[in-house]
Amino acid sequence: MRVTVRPIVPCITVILIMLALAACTVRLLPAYDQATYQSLTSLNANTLTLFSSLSAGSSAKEFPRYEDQYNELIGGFSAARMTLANRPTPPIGQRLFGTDPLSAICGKNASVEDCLNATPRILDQIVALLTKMRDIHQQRGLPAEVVSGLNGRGGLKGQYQIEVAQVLTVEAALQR
Amino acid sequence: MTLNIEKVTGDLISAVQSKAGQGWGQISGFVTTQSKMLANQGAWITESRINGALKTDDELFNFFVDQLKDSVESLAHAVAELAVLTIEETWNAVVGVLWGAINTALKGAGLGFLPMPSAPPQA
Repeated sequence: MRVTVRPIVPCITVILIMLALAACTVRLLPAYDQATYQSLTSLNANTLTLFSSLSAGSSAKEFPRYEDQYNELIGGFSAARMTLANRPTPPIGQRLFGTDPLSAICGKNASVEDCLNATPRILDQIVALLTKMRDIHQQRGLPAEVVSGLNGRGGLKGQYQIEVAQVLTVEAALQR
Repeated sequence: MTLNIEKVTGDLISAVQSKAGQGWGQISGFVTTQSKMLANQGAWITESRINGALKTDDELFNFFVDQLKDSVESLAHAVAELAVLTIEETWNAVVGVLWGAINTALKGAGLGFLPMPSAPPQA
């Protein structure tokens, strides 16, 4: 018996140490959501495809051809927003939010959710941007400059890229 | 078995340098990229308002200005979130090194584990 028990003891000790270390790590921010992150990367690829299709501009007559794409993207980003807004911020993170340095970065009017779960608010901006783009396209058509800006900068695409980069950077960082 | 203070100190410094360095590197790179994008967007809005599609379109001009303003605020929130993440990772790394060393020494002396602290001290 002794021969079989001895090697087990150090193994159990190592497992206990690992469990003790793993169980007691601190979490200050909401959890990473892999399914939603993958959905966001897919939505981003589809949005960039739409921007590419419309880069030369598009008339109101052509709108029906793109209507379903707009609605899928707006619906997809809205669903991701709803999922990520429901992630709880750990209580320790909420306490940290009350400290001066964090308040200074986030601003006095920011809520704990704005500051420590920034993504839903940015997704609101993306939904507003795509909705505006869809409505302009439907009502009067999209000039190329409004879609892609001038000299490769600006326009709806430039604004979208700022917003989606914020979302993907923060969400990828939460994978820890 | 005693705790090797010199080794633990070195391990702690390495853990802090590594985690804080990685965190700062990520925040710095992110802010640099975002600043360029925001500056480019601001430049286009200005150019277009003077002599482009936004020249006679007040509604769209205001929409782009509001979006840009919101993005600046969102950048601040994203930076705050990344900074807190760096604090979290640094804390966990330091506690892991220190409590790991203490518990290894206690185990060597045939004693029980010291429970790890569960939260940073409140400010």
